[in-house]
Amino acid sequence: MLAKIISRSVTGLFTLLMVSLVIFVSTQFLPGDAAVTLLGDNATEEALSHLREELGLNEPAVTQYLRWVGGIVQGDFGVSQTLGLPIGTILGDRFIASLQLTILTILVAAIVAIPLGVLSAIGQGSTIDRTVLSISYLGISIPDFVFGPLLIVAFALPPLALLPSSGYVPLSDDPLAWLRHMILPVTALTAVLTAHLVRQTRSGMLEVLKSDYVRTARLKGLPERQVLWRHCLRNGLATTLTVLALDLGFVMGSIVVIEEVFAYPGIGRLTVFAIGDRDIPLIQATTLVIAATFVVANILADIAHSMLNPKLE
Amino acid sequence: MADTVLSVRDLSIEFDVGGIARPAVRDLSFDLSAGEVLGIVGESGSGKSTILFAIMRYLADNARVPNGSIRVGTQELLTLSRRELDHFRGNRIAMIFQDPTGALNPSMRVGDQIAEGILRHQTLTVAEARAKTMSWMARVQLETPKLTYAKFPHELSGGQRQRVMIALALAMEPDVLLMDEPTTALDAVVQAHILELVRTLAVEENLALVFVTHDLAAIAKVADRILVLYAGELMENGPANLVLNNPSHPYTQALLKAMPKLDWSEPALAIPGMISEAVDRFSACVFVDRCAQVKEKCRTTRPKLEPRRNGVVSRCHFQPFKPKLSARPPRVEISIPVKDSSSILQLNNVTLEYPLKGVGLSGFLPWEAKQFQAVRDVSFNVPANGALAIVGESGSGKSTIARAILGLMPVARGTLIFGGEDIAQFSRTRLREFRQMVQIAFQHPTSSLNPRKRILHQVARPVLLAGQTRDAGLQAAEEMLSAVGLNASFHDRMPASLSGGQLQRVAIARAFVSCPKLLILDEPTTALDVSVQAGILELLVELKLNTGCTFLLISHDLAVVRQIAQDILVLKGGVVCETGDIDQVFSNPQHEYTKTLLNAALQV
Repeated sequence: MLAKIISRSVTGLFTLLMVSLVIFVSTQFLPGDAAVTLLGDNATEEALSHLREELGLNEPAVTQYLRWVGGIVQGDFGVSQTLGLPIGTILGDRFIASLQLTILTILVAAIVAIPLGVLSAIGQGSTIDRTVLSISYLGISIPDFVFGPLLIVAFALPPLALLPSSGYVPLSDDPLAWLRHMILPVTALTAVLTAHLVRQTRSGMLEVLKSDYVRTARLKGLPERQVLWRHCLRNGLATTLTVLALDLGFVMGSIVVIEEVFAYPGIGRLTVFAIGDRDIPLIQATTLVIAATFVVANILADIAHSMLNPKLE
Repeated sequence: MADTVLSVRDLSIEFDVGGIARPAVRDLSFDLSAGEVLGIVGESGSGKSTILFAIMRYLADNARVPNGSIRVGTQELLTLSRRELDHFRGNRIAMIFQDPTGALNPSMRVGDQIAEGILRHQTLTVAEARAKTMSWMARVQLETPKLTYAKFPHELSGGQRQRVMIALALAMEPDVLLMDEPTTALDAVVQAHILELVRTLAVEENLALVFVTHDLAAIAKVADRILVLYAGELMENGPANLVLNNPSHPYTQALLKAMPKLDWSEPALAIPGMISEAVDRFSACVFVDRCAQVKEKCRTTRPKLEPRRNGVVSRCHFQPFKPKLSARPPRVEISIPVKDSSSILQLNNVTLEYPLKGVGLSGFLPWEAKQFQAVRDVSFNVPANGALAIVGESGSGKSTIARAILGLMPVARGTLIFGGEDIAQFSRTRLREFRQMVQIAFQHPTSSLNPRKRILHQVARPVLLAGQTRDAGLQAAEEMLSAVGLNASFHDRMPASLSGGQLQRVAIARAFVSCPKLLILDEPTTALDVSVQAGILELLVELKLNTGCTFLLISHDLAVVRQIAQDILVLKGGVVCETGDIDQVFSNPQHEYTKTLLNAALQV
């Protein structure tokens, strides 16, 4: 298992290196000149070339890339061109804020979806099953950028005005306020995920319930409850848990939209801001961090999968 | 009988399919005493597994039991509540299945799966259950029970898994054990060992054992009594030696004659026609359409079970003819007597390897890439117009060789010569021609035919690929289909509406339509019923005679091989054990492994 984790991590680092290359090359093709962006259209040619020299923009692309990657390895993401601050400090808080959103979303989705999916599979064709299926259809078909504003209209605006429509309060400052700020964005993010996960759980469980080894267990004379807990859940949920780990990356991608809708100060919103202002070092840093989350999610998924499936160990 | 343990009376089972009651079993009765082994033999569609699941009370939701009774001891099973059933299953009756791989939970240690059943039905501590599990593992001849206890199913071989299943069932100490094709998925040698084990344990444990199979030869090894089932109807029931040696029902006779004989004494004779699934089939004799001895009465009246000599009962209006011993036609008639001296295909010191999949990056690193040698240093000739059989157990590398010949995998070392030329040196055009000249028919026609294409077009396809016109292709396909015994009514049908035997005929027609020089047959009859298998074997022999095509037959079944092949190559673990003329190898095997295979080959 340890060998597997190490090997997966090495592959992950390799993937990240490739990703960094792609990010670097594609940002090279972005229109606009960083120096012009910084100094404005009225800057003198002399000032511009001075700044380019200072930022290293005249050096060959290879050197620039190596310096960028080298910096990241040492924890230095460079300096934001528009904010004039070291990116590391900006990124840290935003990333933690986004991570809270993501993990909470995953937890809520799992807690809601797994029991529903299991119940739905056990009572295949029953009223519960049909209700769960129809609602999950609805969940899959409404995009989060529609659902988010709908939630705001319903719960954050008068007449109800139950919850704040935007912003973030750190957990350590005021746990209750933190929670109140989390509810709406988490709900918006969870909707699609839960729907997807319910269906995944249901089909995974159905397959196991029809399997020959469940038949063996029943014909041993085990009571149905024992068949379910000992023989079905572990095998039936193996895929669900793998998908869940992968979804960590998926949610990290969705937050770009949702954070914008709820004005939530996370890494997604930071990315939108960086792209809007052509802040190339910041774009590079935020995309790389989101990509890194994807990679970590994949590694977690792999590990979860092989822990639940002895065949792969 | 005083010590009757399992008693089935007038059992009928039907399935509700779209509002219509489709009968599966009708008025079945039999008794079984402790220490007795009942073999139920039947082809697919006979209802043999349905009976076992009815006894376990595990029929599908759409099944009905309109009449009948199933008793274990004095307890009627059909009226048991769900709760009572849970104490009955495992405890009084246990069941073993065909596929031990699917039947074991893949994420649970095998020992725990056995102990779980013990703990459910016996008041033992966990430690005692573990000890008992290990002693049962030893009794089913699993080596090192302590180590095996902690293994997962995928770490065991197929034979070991079936031993685990047997231990799992018997450790619960049932009175009745039901076995559903328990050895069908296993290699011949393993099968022979398991059958012996079953026989021994049945006696030692004084079990009432029901052994269900389509394989008369396997049943001959274990059964005291044999019950012959056809289309849901009991045809014959009696002591094993009488049923096998002196069958009193025309179906039993036909079934025995359909079995290929290892000693080549009689030809395997197909039973023409198909099993009846008609809802009203029980108003006459169910075998009426296929019976060679049919009379008018058979078409109008359902036969009663008539007692015959020595405790045999038979569901036939008539005393059947004494089965005629038809002499085997001399071998020269069915195969090309003089082998062409030139060889069409030649393998010289061929080694074939599969890459072992590494973890993570290691797959990319050349120094970490590992190879598994599936076939090592194999050399043989396939004489033109000849028929060579490659035999061996699963994992012996026989299918890998076929893949290499077809160019589906690279040759690691050695050369493959086809018609005097090295296959590896073929140009693109030559390779195209080569692919026309070498064809294959697979074990499972269901998955090797396109499910969404009409039969005629499917068979015409290779001709069209060869660049001929559509009309020429369709005409060739029509001729080929009629040559394999499928008339015009099949042309526009889809594969799903055909039986297994008919599909295999289509697959053979498809392989033959481009007039190949070499036909590779990969276990062509393994998935088929005995009565259908004989028909396919006849067809292959006939086509060989008419076309002069060379055959390369891959099989694990020595009796089947004997029907078609002239030469044989015995393969074990990717290495050639023995090769030579099939008569000589069968009558005087030189290699130990060949002897083992021949000894394990079951015959009635």
